Amino acid sequence: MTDMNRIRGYRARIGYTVAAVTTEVYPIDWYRVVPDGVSLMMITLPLGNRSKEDVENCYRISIEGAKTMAKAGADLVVLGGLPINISKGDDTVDGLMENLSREIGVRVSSSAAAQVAAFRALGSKKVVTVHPFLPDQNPRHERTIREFFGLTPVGEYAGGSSLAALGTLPPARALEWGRAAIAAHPDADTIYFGCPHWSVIDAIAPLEQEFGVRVMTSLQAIAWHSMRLAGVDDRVPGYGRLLSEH
Amino acid sequence: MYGHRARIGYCSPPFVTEVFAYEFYKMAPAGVTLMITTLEVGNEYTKQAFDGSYERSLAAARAMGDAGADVVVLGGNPVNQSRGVENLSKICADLAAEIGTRVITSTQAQKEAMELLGAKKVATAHMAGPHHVERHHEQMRNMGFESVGVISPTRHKLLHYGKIDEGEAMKLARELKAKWPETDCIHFASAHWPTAFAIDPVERELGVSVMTSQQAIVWKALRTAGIDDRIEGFGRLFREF
Repeated sequence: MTDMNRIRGYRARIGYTVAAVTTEVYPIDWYRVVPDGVSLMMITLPLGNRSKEDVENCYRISIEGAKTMAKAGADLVVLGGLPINISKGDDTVDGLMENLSREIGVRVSSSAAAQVAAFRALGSKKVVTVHPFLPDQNPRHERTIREFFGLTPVGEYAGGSSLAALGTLPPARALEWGRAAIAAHPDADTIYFGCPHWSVIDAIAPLEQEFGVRVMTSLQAIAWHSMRLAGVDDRVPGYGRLLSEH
Repeated sequence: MYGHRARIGYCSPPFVTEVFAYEFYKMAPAGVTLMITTLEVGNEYTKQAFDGSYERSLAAARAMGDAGADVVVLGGNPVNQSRGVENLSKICADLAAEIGTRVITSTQAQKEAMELLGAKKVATAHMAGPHHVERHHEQMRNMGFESVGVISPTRHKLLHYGKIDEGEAMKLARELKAKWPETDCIHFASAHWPTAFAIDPVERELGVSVMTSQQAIVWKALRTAGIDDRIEGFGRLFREF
């Protein structure tokens, strides 16, 4: 029964800058993960070919978007898109969030910070990355795990899809690719699914149970971290240890 | 995939979008997904924002077509009407030919919804503030309906629509019907404030049809994509057409 005297985001309103021209999977999975009363405010960014100019334009719109979401009453603003967040250098993200938060008067986080916190909470050390893109993205992921997260990259699995086709991937792909990744790299203690814009959340619990590993996905980490920062401490079952135990 | 029945692309005018996606998934059946791109309309309705949003709509529509959308909706009645209601069919046809998928506008969706509901005398509630009353009268007349009354409470900024209580729509509907009892259709304008759960109660209590911008967009997008499910809980439009 709808309570007509309260707003949709009566527990928390989370602003998120989406690093994609259009977004499809993210809001679906967001509303599956978060409890009732937590809403999502979105801005989509015109991320295209990931050139320096393209990423800088998205960075600029992200900042503008954060200010706008704060004015609109967000309880927390999350800057999405790891490549955008670290475009000014791996060591600039904390400073960016601090300064921006001071300026707009609302707490600011980022997808990068959420994932750092998630890896830490899970106690991850050796990470195999599964991403939906072409293998030419493997070196970028390998570098991010090693240099940004400070963890040991044990391998990458590239799904071979594209940004435009992410919405066409069925949930079974993440499960298949996760199994293939851990089979190829059995020394991994964590499977990391990069990019929050494809269907991954239904693979988290099955992979954790099947292989006894930790599973962290970008969307899961962002939703978890956002809720905790906004004071929503609910333990959410069904989407992995991160949401159910931390 | 999630959108195994249909994937709906929607160009969402507000720079920040919150309520639309939430209500979309309350209405749409399982297997239907929303692809959303936010545009440039901020708290002020300016020609620059409308023009910028229109241009970004076209770019977004191309991206959505490329990503496999079954239908693309150009949102924003004011944005669409800024191109001339009479030009919208051609704009959609040209864009559809270019991107290879069907294209509709929120304006056409609302017009068709009201025609099917048999609306003649329409009263509108909106949240943009009293100084937008005349614009809403004009928009309704441009769509071919008699605009018997328009009300707006104290102005809510567009980007603050997420702060509006869910009960506000019901209160405004009662006020409209009391002021203009000849009303046969109540229109909740703008797809970005909470209206979905007021539709059925207003139709039952006041004996009118209800058309909300959000409801009409989702309904028309579903029907255009070939999803003919009759949906309970969100008014006659979804239940009967």
